[in-house]
Amino acid sequence: MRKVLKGNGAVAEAVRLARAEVISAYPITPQTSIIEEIASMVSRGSLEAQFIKVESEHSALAGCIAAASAGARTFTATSAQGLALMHELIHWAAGGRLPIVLADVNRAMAPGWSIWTDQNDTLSQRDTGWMQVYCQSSQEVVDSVVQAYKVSERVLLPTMVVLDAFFLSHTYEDVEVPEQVMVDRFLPPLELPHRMDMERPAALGNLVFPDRYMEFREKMDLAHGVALGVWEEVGREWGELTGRPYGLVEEYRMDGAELVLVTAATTASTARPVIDALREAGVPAGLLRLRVFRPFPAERIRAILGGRKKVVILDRNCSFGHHGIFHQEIKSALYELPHGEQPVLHGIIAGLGGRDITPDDLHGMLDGAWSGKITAPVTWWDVLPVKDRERAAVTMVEGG
Amino acid sequence: MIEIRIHGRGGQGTVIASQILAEAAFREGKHVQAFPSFGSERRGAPVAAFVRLDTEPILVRTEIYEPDGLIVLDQSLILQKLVDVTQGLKEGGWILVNSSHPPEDFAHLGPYRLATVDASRIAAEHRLGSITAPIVNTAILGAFSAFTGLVGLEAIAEAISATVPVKSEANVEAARAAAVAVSVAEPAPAGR
Amino acid sequence: MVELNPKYLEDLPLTSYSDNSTELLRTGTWKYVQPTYEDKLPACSHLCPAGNDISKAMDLVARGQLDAAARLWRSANPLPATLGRVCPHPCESECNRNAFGGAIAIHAMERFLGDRSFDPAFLPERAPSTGKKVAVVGGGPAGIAAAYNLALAGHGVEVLDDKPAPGGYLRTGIPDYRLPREILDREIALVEHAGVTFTCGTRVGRDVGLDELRERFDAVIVAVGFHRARPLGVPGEDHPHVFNGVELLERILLGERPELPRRMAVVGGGNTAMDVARSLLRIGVEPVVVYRRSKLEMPAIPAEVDEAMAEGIEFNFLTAPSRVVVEDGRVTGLECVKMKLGEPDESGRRRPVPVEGSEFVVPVDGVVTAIGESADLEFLPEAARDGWRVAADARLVTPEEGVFAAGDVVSGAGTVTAAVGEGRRVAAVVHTWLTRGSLPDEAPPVQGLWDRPVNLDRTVYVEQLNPAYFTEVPRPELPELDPVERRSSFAEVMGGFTEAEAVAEARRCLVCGTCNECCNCLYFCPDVAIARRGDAFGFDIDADHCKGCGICVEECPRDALSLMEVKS
Repeated sequence: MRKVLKGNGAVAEAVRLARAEVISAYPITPQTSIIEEIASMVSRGSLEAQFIKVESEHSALAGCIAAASAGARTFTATSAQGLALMHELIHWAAGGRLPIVLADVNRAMAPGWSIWTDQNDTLSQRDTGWMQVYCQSSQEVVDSVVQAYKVSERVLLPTMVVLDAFFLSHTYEDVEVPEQVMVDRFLPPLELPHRMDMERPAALGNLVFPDRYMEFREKMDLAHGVALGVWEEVGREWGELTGRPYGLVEEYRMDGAELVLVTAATTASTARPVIDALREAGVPAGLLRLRVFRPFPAERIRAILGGRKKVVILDRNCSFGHHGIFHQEIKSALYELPHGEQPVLHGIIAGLGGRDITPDDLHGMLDGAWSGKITAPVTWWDVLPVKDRERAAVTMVEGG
Repeated sequence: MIEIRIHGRGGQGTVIASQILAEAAFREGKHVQAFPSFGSERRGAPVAAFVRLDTEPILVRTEIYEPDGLIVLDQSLILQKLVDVTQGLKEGGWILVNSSHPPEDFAHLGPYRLATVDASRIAAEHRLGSITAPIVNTAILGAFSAFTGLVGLEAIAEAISATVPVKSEANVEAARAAAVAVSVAEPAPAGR
Repeated sequence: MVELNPKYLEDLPLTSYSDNSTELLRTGTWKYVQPTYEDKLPACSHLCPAGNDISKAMDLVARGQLDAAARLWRSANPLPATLGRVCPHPCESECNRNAFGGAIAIHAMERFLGDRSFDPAFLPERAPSTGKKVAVVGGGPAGIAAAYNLALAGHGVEVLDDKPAPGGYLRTGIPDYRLPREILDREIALVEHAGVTFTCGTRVGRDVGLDELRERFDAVIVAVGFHRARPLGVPGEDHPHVFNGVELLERILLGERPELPRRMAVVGGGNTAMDVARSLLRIGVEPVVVYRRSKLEMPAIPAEVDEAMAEGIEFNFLTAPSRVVVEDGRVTGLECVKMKLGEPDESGRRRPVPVEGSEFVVPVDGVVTAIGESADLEFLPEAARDGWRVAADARLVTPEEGVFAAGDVVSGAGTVTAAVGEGRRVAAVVHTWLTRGSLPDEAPPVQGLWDRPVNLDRTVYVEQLNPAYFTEVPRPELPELDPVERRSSFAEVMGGFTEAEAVAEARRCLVCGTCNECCNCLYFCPDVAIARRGDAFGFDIDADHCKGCGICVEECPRDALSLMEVKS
């Protein structure tokens, strides 16, 4: 059934369709309307679930961990500072191999205080063992939340489904909401193999000595490897049921593309008409959209980007001191290419703190890279010009 | 693709107007987007909301900088020059203002296609909001339909019924009344 | 069972998970201290002369087990309904609830439980007969308590009393408005039901000799109490309108209404003086209390003094009589001298010193003396007497073999409650002597007679409690007869609890030093080493896994757990 939904409403619809049994969450802008809508569904009875009100995000995830350990399908949602506050338990959820699904509305980290989008909140959680999916539309939000449960429950790792603040969370658009019957067929009830069982008392999360800790970690890493295939399989199955297949990444006009834009989330959607325009103007441009960021589809990316001339990697994030994060990861993935097949990479950091990335911006980035105007390995896009790098870097200290 | 910007003040239902408009267009089979200006809102402060309509799926997910048309819920935003409403408005674009004045009074805004409707009066007559603070967002959408023809009045009425939980009948009636009452400046300058 | 030493990664569980490692890891070997459930003496019971197990009974009431609580209370104390009315309840003064909203109304609870248990079904089962026989001389509270406990222990007990009915001072000295006769009669009937024979109207030394008793019985307990009034020792004391307070009170309480002067001085500050004054008021006489010290030094129960004052009785403090003024053969006044308080005497109270030239006359038509009583011990051989007391040692044993003593004759004028406690103690000594033929080094403390183990060396005061678990709840008001109504009636002044009130009050009890299965220890134990005992009361600690962290002891709200050193 088609509906006009905002991104946050799309998350709530998907949680309802997935029949989450326990929702434990704490409100934060711009996530709030997700849990407001779910709370309303629970109170109306359209979702049969326990909604646990907590006093912090740390407790929110603790609630999910407890419920998931008991074998319940769980959900939480948060944003920015809230996700950061969860950090300790983010590790616990992954190490506990609990298939929790968390929706994070990408919001810039403070200070300076910001409610607008960028990806540093979720990418700061990159190394916790969670899977991460970045969505480009509300449609993809609905589809990905449901798929996330299926993949998580198969490989026993939690998933963050990520959507941009405002550009998705607060934007109404037409969405195909799948039928419950279909979702039920796609997503069977959770059977957690290591759930708490009153008949078989056990200690969870107990002390592990150096002779075993590594093995548990290797198992998580192996599960991520398996998850790559499972995401592809599940995305294909979803496509068969809905006509909307998904993969680890998405290619757009990559045939014969010599100039490739790599980016994620809503920007990847906006980029398409720009690619079209460039193609019309005779530039052999293409788009590679990152969707599943963890596990990282390095092999797939290598295969797609190998032999291209120029690759522009647009990061709405920054790992201070070393590039945008997508840029780092892609660069490391391409290292294994034979020398002649390695494209020239241009990292561009743009859109932090919610600054809009318009089609004109994207055009400027691609045109700049293609024409040779952009030469630096990393460019901060659309920022105040720098007169003297040294001075710009230490102004604050000098002032003191 | 049509891009519309709606101006109003916090509390006047500007964002809801964008949602109803999108819902109405969606009911006619169009692809839609509607969103507020991102950030926080305060009652009384100038706010804006945006709508995109297209027959194709809408891929652009940015703010709207060069709208095709404007809906202004509060003429004081123009009269008191609180907001540069025409900023980025495409050449030959259209402007619909909630005002008791004839549309020619807004000719100073530039070479645009102009229309006015006294949505405040119509809303008050339908007891929407209070006399001092009538809620005009539904009425003006009726005028929008008649003025632009971008979305049919029946779709607007359906969208109002589906979206507005209280007094939905009166809101629909107000939209219908405004569709009749809208006055369009003649001769229209070149444009849509 | 999870494979702990897998050969392959596949066999390792998903996450750190163990269904047996807590058992394998014998964390109990780490400990150098270990927690032990150890009930201690609550501050209330520490001060209870009768030795009532207050905290345990409160816990039972709080759980709604009212009959069990009443049974427990009556199991060794034969006079709960009586004590619940006449006891000065020192327990409440140290009640740890004082710090959280006011002392528990223990006195009212005793009365409630006493009034609930007049049916013989509440009596403990009597032990099989030992074939031994005990005579108790004196049917007052000490004698009754001794007789009751010995009878329950299986001995044949006969109580000899010179009055027409047993009860001693309870019957002859405590007015109905404090203790209705019916209550006393029902409690004594229960004592008889427990196997005690009362032989009344028989005075030892007059109707039967001590030697004869020693022949007929295996043991004799002397508990005759104090009932002989001491004289005032001032001129004019021999006038017929100068009355002996003990005798006058006894006559009034037996229902006599003698012709009395209109306004009478009551000399003294003890309970007898208060009982006399308040009884006189009720039969139309205007009493004036004359006491040589101040209100603070009065030996009477403070509540009795306050009630008397509330009833409008006039008090003359720091006033000592020097002469009964007799004019034309009629008493016209009591000449008194003003006193001031000097240095403390051996009782710890400040000694009154006369103020020279301060004589004045209190205008009265008669005088009642109530300055203290002493015992009549002429039936005892010289060796068994020590002045006005019985020569009994810490074991409550007299120099005469087989003769024991308890009550006022041992410890001096005390409360009914203290007499009950001493009756219980002497019964324990006599029981040991009769059944084992030996005597203890000293009579056991009355709390040592409880049938549950308690560390008597440790009393639980508020410092020993964990205040995090207690919130302030105010003490309830108890119903009290209006002072104006009281002036003309012997109706009972204080009201009692309803069932609901009793339960609510018991729930306020902090149950100090007494495990009440609150389960805090179990909840807090990080090693899951504490387990409930199924149907039995309390918890067991799994020594193999308790690592001696002491959290349970710290988190016990009521100090019912102790850390002990581990004996290697």
